[in-house]
Amino acid sequence: MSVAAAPAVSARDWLKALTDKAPRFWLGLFTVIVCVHLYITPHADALLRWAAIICFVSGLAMAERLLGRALQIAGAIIVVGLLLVDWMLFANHGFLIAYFAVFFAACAITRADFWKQAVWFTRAMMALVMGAALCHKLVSPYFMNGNLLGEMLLSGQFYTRILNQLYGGTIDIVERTREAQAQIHTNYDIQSTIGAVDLPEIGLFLLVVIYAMTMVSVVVQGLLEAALIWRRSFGIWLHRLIFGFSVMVYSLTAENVFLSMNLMMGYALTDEHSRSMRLPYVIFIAYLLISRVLLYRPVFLH
Amino acid sequence: MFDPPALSERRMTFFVRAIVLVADIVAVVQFSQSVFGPQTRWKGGGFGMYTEPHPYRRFAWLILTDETGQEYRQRIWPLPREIRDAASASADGALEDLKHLETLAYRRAASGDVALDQAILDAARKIPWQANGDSLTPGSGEPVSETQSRIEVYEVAYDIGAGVIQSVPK
Repeated sequence: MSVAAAPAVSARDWLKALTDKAPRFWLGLFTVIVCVHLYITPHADALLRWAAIICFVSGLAMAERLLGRALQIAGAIIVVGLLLVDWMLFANHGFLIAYFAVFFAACAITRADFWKQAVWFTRAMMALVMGAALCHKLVSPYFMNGNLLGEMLLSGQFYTRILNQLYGGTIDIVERTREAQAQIHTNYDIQSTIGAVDLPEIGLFLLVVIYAMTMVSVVVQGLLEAALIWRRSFGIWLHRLIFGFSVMVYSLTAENVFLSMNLMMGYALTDEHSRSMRLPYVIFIAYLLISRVLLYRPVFLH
Repeated sequence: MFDPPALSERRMTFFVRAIVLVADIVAVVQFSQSVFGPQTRWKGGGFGMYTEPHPYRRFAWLILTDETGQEYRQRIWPLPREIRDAASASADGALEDLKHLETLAYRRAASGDVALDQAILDAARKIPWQANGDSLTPGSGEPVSETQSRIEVYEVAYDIGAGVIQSVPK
């Protein structure tokens, strides 16, 4: 079955498509993610970005027609073109979007068993993303020594207010860290000659939080990779892990488009035993994309 | 209604596997370039984001020396807002030239590719730099008469164990 072979027009049809996991509904999720991604991609050519958005939206609206399929293919060509022109600066989730765009374009011209191909492709892509991310973490001394999450925590990118409730000096530490950071970021002499500025004393509590979070993120990433490899053994726990991983990452950083792709892939991997996860997936994707466009992020996460 | 050409299940399977193979190859190449070379893990399809400082923590500096030996420097990635504002108020086209310079400097910082240095220096020469103490600002007065120029890139990284934020040349 091709993507185009399952037309759905009304809201009721879309809701049914959600619970039945219809190809066109999944293509719809992907189209919205692509549109938000292209809308917020600042360095790519603006005209081509809008051309791709128009192609994907019209391709979805006319998916059962020849023109719709041609537009889906044109959209995929533009996305891959944007990637090839600027691959060095292209975000990793942009690569993922380009691979999926090619996959959908291939589906638009075939009558292959859509979900059989989509589930295999999704599982392979997700295993690649999580596996590569895990390998990068394990070989990166910067990450494994707690410096990456330390940098994020101490510069106030997450949990500052929550941690301040547990450890009173956190806000002061974050402010002094930001001052030290601004000093080294703007001063050529410090960067080229002195080479370092001191961090404020952070105390044992924050140090333990940083190292614990580092270890937890490696373990969760490893579990997720294992769950993707042994999908049947993990059952619905695969989806709980994907969902939990996405919530955890969202609480740390505003990677809304990347997380939407993760959740869209999780949706494709649901089956009759895990269909209860489809609605949470779709609601979370909608929240992530709407909040990204509105630049909204809950205050308590700062 | 258009009936799509039937691509056999076997051919479609082959095609889907080919996409995955390409993605795997890109990831492996990018992994090796970023682990054993200066390419950032944050970009380029290797899926190594959040394992090292972001390219926004890499800083590219333009250093010009005039005939008296005086050195002037300006951060060209990320470009300070006041430099952008000065370019807007200066000669026609200076802002566009500056944006082009910044894009090249970003690419140089993210990739660590020193081969880009010449292109950056050529782009920098199109901008009418004025001396402002020991730094540089785009303007419409007498430009700095440059005799030598170079690009330096530093990555600013945390060392939580040692309690410092340090810079490393890239």
